[in-house]
Amino acid sequence: MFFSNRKKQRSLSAYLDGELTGTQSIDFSEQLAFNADLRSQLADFAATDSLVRNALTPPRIPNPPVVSTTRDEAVRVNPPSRRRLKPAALAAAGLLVTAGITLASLRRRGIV
Amino acid sequence: MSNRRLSLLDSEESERIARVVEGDLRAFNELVDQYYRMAYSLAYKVLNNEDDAREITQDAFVRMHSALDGFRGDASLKTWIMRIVMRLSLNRRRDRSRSSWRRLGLHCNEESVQETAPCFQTPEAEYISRETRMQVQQLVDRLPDSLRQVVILSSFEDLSYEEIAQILNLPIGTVSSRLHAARKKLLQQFREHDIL
Repeated sequence: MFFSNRKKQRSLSAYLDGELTGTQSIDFSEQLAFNADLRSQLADFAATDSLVRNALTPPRIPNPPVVSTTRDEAVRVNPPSRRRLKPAALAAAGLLVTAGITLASLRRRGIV
Repeated sequence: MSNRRLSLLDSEESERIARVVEGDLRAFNELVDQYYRMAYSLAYKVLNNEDDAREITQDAFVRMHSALDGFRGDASLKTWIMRIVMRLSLNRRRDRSRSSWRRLGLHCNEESVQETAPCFQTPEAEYISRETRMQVQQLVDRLPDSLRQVVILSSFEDLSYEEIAQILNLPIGTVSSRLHAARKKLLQQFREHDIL
């Protein structure tokens, strides 16, 4: 298959990126086999890509953050702790009121 | 979310998205775990700064979480996330270039370039000196935006032209021609700087 110069150029990148179809790739491989300039250009592009890829690669990648599921699970499995504390607070308040009434009653009777 | 809208996704991914939309944080963690590395790499490649990349990546996942309900599924989740990260990173880059610090010319290129050598260098990378890395980063950085974006995305080996086109919202032919133009330009620059 005949490749125009412009098409050859465009196909060079596509070939390097594996974007040519099976037939196109075979045709272009044939062109490469007979064209030293094209092979040299392909090697240059591959070297350019390699440099860019290595230069841009992050030196390290942090671990992904984990969204805490604890609150979610607490809601599903147990009532939230705030709700668990509420009856205890109510009981304490009840005891205080009872103790207050008892003390007042004892005072009225002159016992205390 | 209808099955038709998620036609491009595999069933496992569709199910996971549905779980996230329903408020399942474990499913969201799975998504973050699957795509974080790729998202962070993209942000880093655009911004050349670890702190910015980390912040943008987290921001992208927060946005993804709130927008997932409206995810149409006409592109893959991968390209959708990459599009979000790319947009946020470009905005950050633009804001950074507008900062008074930069306008006064008080930044130096080295500031944005990693000082440390990669901890997981390939044998090939070991041959590239830190100085060369910085030069290459600077030359990529100086490319026109339209070419730089394509170069950055093509450096992800598993992204096809079609996926790059989806991320950048461009025709595939434009991706192909820009990538070729960028390669030619970079090759010329590398030769001028005796890098190649």
